[in-house]
Amino acid sequence: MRKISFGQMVIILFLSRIFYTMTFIPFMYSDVTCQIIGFSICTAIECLAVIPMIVLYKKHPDKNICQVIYEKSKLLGILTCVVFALAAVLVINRLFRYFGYFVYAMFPDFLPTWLVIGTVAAVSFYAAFQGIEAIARSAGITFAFFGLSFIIVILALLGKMSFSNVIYDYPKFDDILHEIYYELSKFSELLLFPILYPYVKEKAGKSVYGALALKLIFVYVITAVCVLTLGSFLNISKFPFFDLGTYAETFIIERLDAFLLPAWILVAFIKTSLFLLVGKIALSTGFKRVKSNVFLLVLTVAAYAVSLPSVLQEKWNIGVLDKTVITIFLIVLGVLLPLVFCFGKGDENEAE
Amino acid sequence: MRMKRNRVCLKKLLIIPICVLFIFSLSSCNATGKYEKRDIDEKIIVHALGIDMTKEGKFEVTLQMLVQQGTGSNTPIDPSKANSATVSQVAATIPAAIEQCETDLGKKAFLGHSELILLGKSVTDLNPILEYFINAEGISLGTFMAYTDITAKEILNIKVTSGTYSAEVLKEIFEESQKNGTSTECELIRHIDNIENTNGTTVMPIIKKIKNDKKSSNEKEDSSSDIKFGETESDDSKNKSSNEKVEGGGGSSESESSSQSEGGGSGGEESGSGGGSSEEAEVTAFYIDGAVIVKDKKPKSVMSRDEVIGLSFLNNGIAEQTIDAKMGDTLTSVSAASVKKQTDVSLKDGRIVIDVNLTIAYEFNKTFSDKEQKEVGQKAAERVHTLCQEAIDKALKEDNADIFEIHSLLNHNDYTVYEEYKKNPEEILKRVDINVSINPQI
Amino acid sequence: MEQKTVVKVNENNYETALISKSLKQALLDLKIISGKTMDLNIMEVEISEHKCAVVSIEGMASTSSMAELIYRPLMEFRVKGYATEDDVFKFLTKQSLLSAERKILTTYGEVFLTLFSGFAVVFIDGCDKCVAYGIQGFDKRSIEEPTSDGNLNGAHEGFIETIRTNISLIRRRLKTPKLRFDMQQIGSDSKTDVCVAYITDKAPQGVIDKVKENLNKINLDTIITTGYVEPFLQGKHKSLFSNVLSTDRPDAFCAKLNEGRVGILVDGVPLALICPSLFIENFQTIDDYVNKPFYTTYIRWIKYIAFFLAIALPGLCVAIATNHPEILTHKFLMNLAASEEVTPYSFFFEAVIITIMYELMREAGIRLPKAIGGAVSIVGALIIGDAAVSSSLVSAPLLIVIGLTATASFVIPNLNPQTSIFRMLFILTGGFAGLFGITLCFAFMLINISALENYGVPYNAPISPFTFRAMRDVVTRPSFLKLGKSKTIVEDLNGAKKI
Repeated sequence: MRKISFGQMVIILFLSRIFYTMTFIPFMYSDVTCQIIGFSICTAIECLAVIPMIVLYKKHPDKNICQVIYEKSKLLGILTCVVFALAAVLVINRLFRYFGYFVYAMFPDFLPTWLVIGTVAAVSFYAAFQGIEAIARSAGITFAFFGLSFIIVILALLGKMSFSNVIYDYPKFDDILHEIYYELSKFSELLLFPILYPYVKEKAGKSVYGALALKLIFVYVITAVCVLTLGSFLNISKFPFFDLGTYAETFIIERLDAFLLPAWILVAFIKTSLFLLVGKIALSTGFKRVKSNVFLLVLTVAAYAVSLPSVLQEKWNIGVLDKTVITIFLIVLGVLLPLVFCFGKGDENEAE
Repeated sequence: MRMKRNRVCLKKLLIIPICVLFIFSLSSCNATGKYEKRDIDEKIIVHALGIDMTKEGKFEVTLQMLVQQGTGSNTPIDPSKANSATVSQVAATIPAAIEQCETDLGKKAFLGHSELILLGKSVTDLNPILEYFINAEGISLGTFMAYTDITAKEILNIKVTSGTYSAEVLKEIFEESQKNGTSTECELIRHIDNIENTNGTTVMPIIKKIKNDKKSSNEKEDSSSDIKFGETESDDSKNKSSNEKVEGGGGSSESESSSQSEGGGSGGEESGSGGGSSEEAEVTAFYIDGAVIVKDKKPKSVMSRDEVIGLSFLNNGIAEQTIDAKMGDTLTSVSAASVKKQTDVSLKDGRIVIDVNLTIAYEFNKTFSDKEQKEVGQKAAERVHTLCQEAIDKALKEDNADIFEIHSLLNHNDYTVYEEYKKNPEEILKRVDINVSINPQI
Repeated sequence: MEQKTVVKVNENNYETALISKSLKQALLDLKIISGKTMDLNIMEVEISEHKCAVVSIEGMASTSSMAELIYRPLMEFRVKGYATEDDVFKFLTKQSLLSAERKILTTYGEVFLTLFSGFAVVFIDGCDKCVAYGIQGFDKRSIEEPTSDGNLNGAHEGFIETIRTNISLIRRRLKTPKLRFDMQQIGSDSKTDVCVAYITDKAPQGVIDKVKENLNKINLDTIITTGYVEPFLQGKHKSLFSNVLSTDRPDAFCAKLNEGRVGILVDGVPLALICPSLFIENFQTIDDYVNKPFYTTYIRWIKYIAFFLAIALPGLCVAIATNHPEILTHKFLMNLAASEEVTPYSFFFEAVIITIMYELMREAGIRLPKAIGGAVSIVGALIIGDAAVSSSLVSAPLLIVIGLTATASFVIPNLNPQTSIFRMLFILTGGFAGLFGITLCFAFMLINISALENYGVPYNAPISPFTFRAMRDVVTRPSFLKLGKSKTIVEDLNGAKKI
């Protein structure tokens, strides 16, 4: 059962979150100051929110949350599995919309958006089919590639950064609250961890904190670089991180934005495959008689089908879905359920 | 066993039509319509864009593009010839004008490599221009944006023989000028950033051409700032261009279409280097002379070259600058090797006082004694002070324009004042005093 | 009384049939089983006036060795009086040393197996056993320089087709009793000798057992090359990459055994297989451990770059030229556009055509006899290369790209099949979908490699899963002073499982 290492788990959780930062909030609601404050506070909240999950892991290190609930109550277990799968589909739907928007906005004459997300779905299906180990190993290499392109962009922009470009505004309380709420809706690690922790060989609980720390560092650095380089252009830019690439130049490559594109695609593909896998594991826990790969196919088709109307109609942001519905799912599945089931007797082989 | 074999066969049968469907949809996307893939030679590689306004308030867009003058597949680019040509069109909006250019040439414009956006003196409102370029597909944020004292079309029509195209030469001139302070930062992103922060204020350098009279002596135009913005090109314009069409694309337009004007010359900021005269040769070089102060996204006034140098000192944009210091009857040059700026913001008697202390390290071009060095250094410092003061007098006192990053200083030092500035920048700028002190280091 | 049913021996039931006591019958059985094949040599002799026969296969046993080592001692054997079959058998098995290898055979199956392995078999009248002596004398190739894995400073010996010679090449290099060779015959008709080699305290027992189990699962009639054996060793996962490494170098083979791998030798093939293998080992050669570490590190990185160029360069060029020309510098773009102006086809189509032409020439170069092999280079370089550019059929930048790609692909010959496939895939996806297509193709390749795991070891270890200590030998080549202190064997890699 134990297949992936602590480091791989950290990378998986990190990459799942960093996708949103690469888009750097395609739909900016408030200025950078509020965003960064809201982000910092939300990270602190997330550190607390994961505690029930970690306690659950320590009690039942070899069983994911669906299995734990299924053993206690079959009906509730099946319901939990279905809800997990639904949540995974919603997260993938949001990812497809955001990624589709990115392709639509930055490369409008490239390929039809429906084809772009279709191919991402197909490759992600193949990855999820191969299992968690294949995804984890690919995530390691994706992380290295992402880190390398990130460093190259920053090095190329060193000469163009200036502190005089930084203009901050006093944050407004309402905006900060909004940012906390929006940031929380992006914390999809709450769905990943309860399903994937049985696969981690060691220190699974600490892996969440590792991912949060890594996320914190990266987001701060990206935000700082964006602000120092782009200045107030940040307020009107759709994809600031990508615009950094547009502005960066080296003597070999004229512009680095198309260099960032592969990193972005890889991150999107890793995240999609992770959530497909999560949905598959959840459903196969609840419905043991059906082959798990059938669920995988169903989930892939469902996620694509659900995203298709919005993509074709160019409705990239569905506020209610992206913020409210997903947040509810995350809190219920990632915080409340573990909180309820983390009490009681654990398994014999409790994690230390 | 048989069922398993059937299932496997079914799986394989399904895979084939799925693959065929995928390849078909991919190919059909590539073959038609919006997603049709164009090879690199089927695109107009635009080096520079020029924008002028007609009398009717329409946009005349000039695209300078690659047209190779090679002699065969082994030497596709012949560097001894100018490998560029221009195409111009007039339309109500910039995208429409570009589209007409594309129609004329039968190719799609590729703006990803455009290095320069040149605004003619007829351009009086930057709003639609900036709106277009912020959202334009492929435009790099590092593209230079500058004004010219004539029409952008004329500048872009000039053929140069060093470098491959005039935009390349212009870019090199801008880069070099930025280093020695004769030009301000003129990247698109910096203009947008300034405009966002100051409610529409920025500084754009002015590019001019050196005219060569028939006796082959190079003369610059009178560099006094008497450009009249809003003037459109009249029919009897000074620069005549030949009506030779560049590409076989047909189509008439509201004004003349592409033309390659005869001319020659290479870049050189002040000295008119290069020759290359031809039948109508008037131009031998470009040079940067002064800058336009843009306020409320409209060109307001013109700064002279000295004022721009002063501005560059104040904004810390100088790498090397040769400063002339008068020692008695002789003029001596010293180089400012490095400039360190220290700024303090304080409130005194209701005035916002910005104390700027510049520590300039000098390098001497001649051998001086210690005493002479000090004297020269002092003279140079006085000169720098004069330049800075001229810039302040021009921009702040005369035009009340925030081109000294005052908004940034206020934001970092006194947020309350900054908030007032955001509400009413004009009032705040009237209360600003900038005191410059120079600390020469030898 | 039960009547014994005598079943006649023939080519279908000979394998377990016991040897007849009667010499005459035994010889007759041999002829029936072999269908009176012309290469079956039967020499009837009397050893101390007892009827015997020496059987061999023409061309397999050495005639001079047979005369010196078998006939002469047999003729000189004398006992007082009449020798019985037991006397003769005792002499043959205990009182003489006629060759280094001696076997006692009881079935016709064993007889034929040894005969076809170059043994001479002595039949004794009245005895239901016979004695086989290893006096192989078939013609074999001498040990030559390895052809597929060249080097400058290492040994210039390579494996040959004879398995026993190969075993001796390995044994000479690893003089430890822990080095074991387990031989088995695979192939119902060919009965090819396949030898499993390992060092006992280094190779995990689970891996050894698994390899043997996989070999036993081979249900083919004949085993001609290692390609027949490899799929059975690779496991179920279908991948474009192979996690079984092949080498024709005994020194490289020994180095891998020392790292805890299991080697497989196949008779008749001058290649040895090593499993489990890692992706990164395709970039390591024996020369790396001869040169100084700084130089080896430099060359290693050249190889990594070469692999990237071999796979991705044409595809990237197509993608960038067609969809993302903003990445190129101004001058490069202008030159490219100007070159493409005069060519009749799109950059993408040219790339496909040129790549196919290159594959044709490469294949022709391998298949052509050496005498006219040089014609391929003339055709390729002059006619296709130069003429294509001069006549503006193909642009010069593309030809440079393909030339560079071709050269890069020769740097890593082990991965040639994969680079050819992925190169074409990248060109196709790059042409249709730009960098997006290439990235997805790369993602597919990444997953394909990442999912590959055999004998408990992930194929892309130690890169992912990351093992710091083992990465030393990936990023650099550490000196032997460091390697000697701490060795990393396959079991120690992160992600490796005990099986």
